[in-house]
Amino acid sequence: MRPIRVLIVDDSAVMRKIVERSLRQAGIEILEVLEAGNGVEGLAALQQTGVDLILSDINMPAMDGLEFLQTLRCLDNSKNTPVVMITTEGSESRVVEALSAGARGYIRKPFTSDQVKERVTPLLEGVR
Amino acid sequence: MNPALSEKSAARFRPDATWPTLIHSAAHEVFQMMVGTEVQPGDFPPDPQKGEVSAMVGLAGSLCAVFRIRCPQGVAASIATKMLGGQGDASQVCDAMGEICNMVAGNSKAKSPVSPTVACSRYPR
Repeated sequence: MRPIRVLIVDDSAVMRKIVERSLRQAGIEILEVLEAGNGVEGLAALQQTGVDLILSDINMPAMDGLEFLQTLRCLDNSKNTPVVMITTEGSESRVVEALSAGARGYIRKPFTSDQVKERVTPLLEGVR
Repeated sequence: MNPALSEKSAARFRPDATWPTLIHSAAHEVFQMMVGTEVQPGDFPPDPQKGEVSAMVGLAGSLCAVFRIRCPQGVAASIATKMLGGQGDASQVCDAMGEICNMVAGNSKAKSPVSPTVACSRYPR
């Protein structure tokens, strides 16, 4: 697997750094990390360049993770990009909503790098 | 009283003796996994003079609550630094404390025996 480009969308800069560190601790080689504070910024970043993986929070200002997920499926360079939701959302209905909208998995905060590895690694098997 | 309101009120969940254990467990898990440190419940009331940094998260729905974490500035800075693997700085303290509070609230909700419809956000709409 080649080093990947990843987009991390979370309104907390601290959480974005923690997610990035968890990916590295999980042994995932990263070429570039793009960061966005909400869905609007995430979409703007994706219009500049495609990525191999997107990790997104759900509760965010301006555009939440579910709307971001639904909208990015209309972008040619991102409609097939795997998206994993990382959220404190405990409500099963929100998780089901995210999976129905095309998320390939979800990770509930708090999390360990092992949990990140378990959820993310299978999604990167096709990255060459 | 409006019967609909009365019914809604009756459906709310009331605090009981299991809640402190549940919240301690949720906080313990968050601090262990995200900060790499152990926390234990104390029997003493917090000293209002030492509460220099406060983070709050509200839960709404049939389970209504406000979670608040309060600690001295030095402790908050230490939490932020540990969360970021030793690379945090002063500008990230409030962000880190907000995330900790958010995760403790969310984790408590997830551990609760009820499954109410709950809004959990730092951005009330």
